[in-house]
Amino acid sequence: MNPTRALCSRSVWKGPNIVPLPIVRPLPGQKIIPIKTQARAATILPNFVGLKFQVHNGKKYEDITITEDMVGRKLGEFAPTRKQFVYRLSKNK
Amino acid sequence: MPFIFGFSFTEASLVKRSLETIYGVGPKVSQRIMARFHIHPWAKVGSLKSTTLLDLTEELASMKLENDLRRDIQDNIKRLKDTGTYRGRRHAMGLPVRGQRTRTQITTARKLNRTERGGAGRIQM
Amino acid sequence: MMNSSTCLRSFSQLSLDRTAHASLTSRTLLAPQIACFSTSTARYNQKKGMAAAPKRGTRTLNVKKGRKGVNYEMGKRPAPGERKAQRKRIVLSNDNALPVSWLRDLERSNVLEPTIEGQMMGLPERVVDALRAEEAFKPTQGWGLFRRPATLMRKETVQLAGLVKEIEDANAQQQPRTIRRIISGDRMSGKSTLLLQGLAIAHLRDWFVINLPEANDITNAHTDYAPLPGSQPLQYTQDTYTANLLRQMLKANPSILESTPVVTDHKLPFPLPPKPTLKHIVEHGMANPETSWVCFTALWEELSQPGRPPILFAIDSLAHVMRNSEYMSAEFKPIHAFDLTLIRLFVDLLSGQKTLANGGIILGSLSQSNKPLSVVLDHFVTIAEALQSQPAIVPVWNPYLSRDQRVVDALRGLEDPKQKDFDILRLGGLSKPEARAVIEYYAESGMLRHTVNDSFVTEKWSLAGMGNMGELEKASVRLRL
Repeated sequence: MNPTRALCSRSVWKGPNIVPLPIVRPLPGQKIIPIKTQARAATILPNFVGLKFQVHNGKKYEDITITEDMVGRKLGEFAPTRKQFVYRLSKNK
Repeated sequence: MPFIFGFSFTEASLVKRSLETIYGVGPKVSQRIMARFHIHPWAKVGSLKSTTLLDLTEELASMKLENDLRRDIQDNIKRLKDTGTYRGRRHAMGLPVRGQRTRTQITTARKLNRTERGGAGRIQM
Repeated sequence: MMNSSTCLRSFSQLSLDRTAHASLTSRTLLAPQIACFSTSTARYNQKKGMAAAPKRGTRTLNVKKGRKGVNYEMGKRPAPGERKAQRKRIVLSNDNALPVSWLRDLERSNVLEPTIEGQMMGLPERVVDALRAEEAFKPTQGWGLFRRPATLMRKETVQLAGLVKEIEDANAQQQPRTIRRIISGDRMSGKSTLLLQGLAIAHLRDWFVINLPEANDITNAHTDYAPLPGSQPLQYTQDTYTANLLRQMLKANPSILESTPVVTDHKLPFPLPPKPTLKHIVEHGMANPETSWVCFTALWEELSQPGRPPILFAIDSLAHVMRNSEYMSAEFKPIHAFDLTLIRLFVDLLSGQKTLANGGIILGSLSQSNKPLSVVLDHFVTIAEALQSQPAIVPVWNPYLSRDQRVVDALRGLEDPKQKDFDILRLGGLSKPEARAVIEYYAESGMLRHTVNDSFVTEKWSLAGMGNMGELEKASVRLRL
């Protein structure tokens, strides 16, 4: 629909940004161990679905669970780096 | 009162402007549609033959317009929001989505970026 | 006169008195209502809606249009089409100008005589009607300044008349010729007027005249278009424009169309009355625009039959034709102007691909004011001008410019000095005797108050840039320098 979307996207010849992550697929019944990573630019691959990640947001690690819809996006998209601005009435509180 | 795509138009209005009142038809799309049926850019709705009106209606019926298009766009934004992405969050907040500055100049984003998106057209949602 | 002015004065006096009274009353009656030293003026003013003084930095001058709640009365708006009619209005006579006693009319007998060179000649009524029907008069040509339309038979006009004579001589020997000319020249040098003179000559010699008054109107996509079924490559007809052209042709050439019978069967999609004439075909095309192109081609075939009059086919501002039109094809590609049927016919005749069966002249006039860029046309015109004046120095094509090959193919004949039939007609300035004839006409019409002598003519001639016709008119009649 939007031509610039296709034009300005990542080059096809590069392929998706695949980062070697320590993925351990847990056996059924076992507790899912989150994968701690700082690779925010890593593309979410189809085999990630159902895993838990702890993605660095610059300060700490955010927990995210990968679902079907997230495939093709980057890990960083789900870990916001800015704090929500909240207006406080008075300063001395 | 000629009817195009189920909407009535006054005979004295330009075909181009009439088509552009439909949500999803802008200047480029209307030009292309009119060229396809050999309607010159200054034609009035009243001057069109009934067969041409039917052709136009058929052409428009094959396109995604008005509420279908709005629903499509809203679904896309909703999906972004539901998966918890940054873009979905920015849409929900009515702020620029693609990393623009927010210190000044965000009137367009304030106006457009919302989860219930869909501007003026012939049908209101 | 006197009465009314005194009356007006008394009125104005009266109104002055009234205002004086008003100010008096305001001083005496209104002033006590406002205390002289009141501290509440600001509040009082606010109530009236007039702030005492606006805050610094606020805008007090409201010049925006369409502010809510403010009713701007702009007066009566013009009716649809009124302004266009005003713009296109042709005035051909001025009752305040004097009739010129010695002005002779152009006639069938004298129009081809070389002796009329350098004389002002009036246009007869019949020709004026025909030219008006063909929209050959333009609003900027200054026809409305004089008692009746008259033109100067300048050197180039006589050349054009010579071409008409050549065609008629060739027809007499049963060897029809098609002569093609492009009129070029400086701004305001009288190109469109020369075209008009050509049309007038053709009308006087009972030729069949077709005039496309403004090429811009054909290509700017303001009238409807439709693909012509069965054409390869695809051509487009313009039904409304063609119907209008047929109407103009009928008004301009009524006698030929009425008197000429239809001799061949054209398999027209509508029945013709018994013993049909060309007028019947034309009238049907006018009334039913969807058949106008069929009617036009039928008419063209009829005119190509032996024994029919020669044809003058003319177009003004030719540059609009030499490029893509504003129309779009079904694939959203611009349609080249050559693919419009009317222009295709003209260009085929101009380039020499087709010839007129009974001979005739194809005349195109350039325009210097309403002129889109057409590098190829400009190039070929400069080549042809160089071939006429100094054949040793002929310009060459700049290889870094892209060129429209179809236009090149159409105009190639201008490059070839051997093709005598295809050439340009370069309009220069007037000669001094010609300028003198025009100025004498101006003086006789009462539009120029000066004794016409040699020094005066020379002054005006040089002010007009060596006798540029339009500038001469400007300098002597319009501006009163």
